[in-house]
Amino acid sequence: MTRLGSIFIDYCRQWVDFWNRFWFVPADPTLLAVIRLLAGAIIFYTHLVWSLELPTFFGNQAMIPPAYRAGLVDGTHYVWSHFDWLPGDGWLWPVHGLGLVIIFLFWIGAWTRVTAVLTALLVISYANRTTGAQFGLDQINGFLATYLAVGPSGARLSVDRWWALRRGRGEQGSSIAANLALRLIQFHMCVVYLFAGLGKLQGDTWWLGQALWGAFASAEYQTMDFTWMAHHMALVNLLTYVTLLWEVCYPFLVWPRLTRPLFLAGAVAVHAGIGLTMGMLTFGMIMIVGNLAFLSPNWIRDQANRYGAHS
Amino acid sequence: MKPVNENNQRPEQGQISDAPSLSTSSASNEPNGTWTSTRRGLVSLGLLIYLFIVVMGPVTNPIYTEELTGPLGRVLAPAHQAMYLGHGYRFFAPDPGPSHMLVFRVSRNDGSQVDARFPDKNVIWPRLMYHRWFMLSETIFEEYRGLPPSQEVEPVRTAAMGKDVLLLDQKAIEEDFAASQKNLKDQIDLFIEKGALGLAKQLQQIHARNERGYRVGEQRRKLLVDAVGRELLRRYSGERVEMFLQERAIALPTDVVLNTKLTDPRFLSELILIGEVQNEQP
Repeated sequence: MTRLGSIFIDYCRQWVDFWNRFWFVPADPTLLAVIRLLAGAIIFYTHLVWSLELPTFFGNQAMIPPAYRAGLVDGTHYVWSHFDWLPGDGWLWPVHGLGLVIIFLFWIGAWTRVTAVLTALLVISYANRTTGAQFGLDQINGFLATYLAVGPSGARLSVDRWWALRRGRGEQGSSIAANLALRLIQFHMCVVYLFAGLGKLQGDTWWLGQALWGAFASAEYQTMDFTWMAHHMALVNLLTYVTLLWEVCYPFLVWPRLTRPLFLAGAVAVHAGIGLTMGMLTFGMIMIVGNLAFLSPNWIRDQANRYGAHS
Repeated sequence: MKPVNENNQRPEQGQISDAPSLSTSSASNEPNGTWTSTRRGLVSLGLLIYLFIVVMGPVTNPIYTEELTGPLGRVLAPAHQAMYLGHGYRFFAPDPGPSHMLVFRVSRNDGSQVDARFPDKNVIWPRLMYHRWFMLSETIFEEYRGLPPSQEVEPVRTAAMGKDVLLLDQKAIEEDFAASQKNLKDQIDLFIEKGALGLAKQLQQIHARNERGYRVGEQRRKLLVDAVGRELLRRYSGERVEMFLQERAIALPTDVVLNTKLTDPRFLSELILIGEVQNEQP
């Protein structure tokens, strides 16, 4: 019993060590800053585009009424949005304009500790208001903005950093918060791919090797004509199986050093492909940005130093 | 306990590491290097709760079990909603399917009419905004999914639209629902009779939820269609708008080999009338 007990305690210790090494080691914040710059641009664009149809989607007479959203979530009322609290449509533009300014400041890394939190809240609020007009882009925007607020995403490549240098302040080095933010992005990306892959396993066209044809031949999605693939269905079959295999295996094989470059390259290929052929460039790009969290923070820092982008 | 960063070694330049690692930063960074075990413990607890919430999103949406994940999902719903989590992440799953459009006819006071649809790539720009309208038409379709249309075309509208128009068969919808609820009720009675009170209670909950869902679903559809109709009237300065759902099937590879275009009308379904809205503005 004593021996079994000590084996068990040792085993638990190993788990605790692993957990601590996974979450609680400091990481250089440059990679997080790179993700902020890229995701910030996409988040800013996402919300800038709403300006074209602001009253249609956010006004008092919006096409998706708050009462509809309340019904959609079975009587619970936590789908909050600051737009629901506006007294009238006269406030729409000032509030939207202020939101865009905040997101822009976050993108360039100004007062990032504050603007990152506000941006995360804004992304959630806009998405909650437009239930029914969203897609994967909004979901990824949501969690990336949240995790960029968890870590010091403005510590590098930012106006904050530039101000700090001008004032002669020292460099903000590696931090556990930066690691936590990167780990949360990694974890969430794996959850996304795991369930996207498991969901596809339920579909006949994925097993039949024809699912990608469905993507190529959708008149509503199509931006580049890939219907010439009809003459090469074996290639469609192969691409379908490779995509499925890549997605299902991603949550497990993106971690080992040996397979990580392969799976990250696969992510770039799949998402660039979706972006170009199905017109979902913003979604494709934000998925690629999420994948950057799997790069080495030190390698990114060295590249940033090499190309003089330290501030 | 050994320091948490003791095993952490800097990888070779250009190499991708398994874990983010310590940079060669100055001594001023030391306070960031380690956390006390209490702090780590508290953050770990928070992390475990948060990760559970994240994972339970796609576990409870769109499919869940009545006994375990459904009740858990309902408990976690406030967190999912407040943090905009809880998505299913089933992108292009289980199968890339047909597209759904909202076709509409706006009639104006001067007798003119506008026939259009959304999404329409030729009208809506930029692409991101096009996707918003596309997702909206898919959401409207989802609201009507499974509701049976009439078996025969509606002759007047069919003549006017130049395409077969079906009406929603409200009587059949109500009868289908009543039949499935009666079936449930019969099972509940049987379980009560056999003394399986646990199962009976579970089915009673489903029965009540279905009842609520059916009524809320009707209201929700009306709210959505009326709001979309009002927007279309405003946009096209119309007096009356009729709205129809239409599906575009995906062309088979053999169709394309035979030079049939993806936009060929034969891939379009009949129109299903889902609502009419009259301008109430003076």
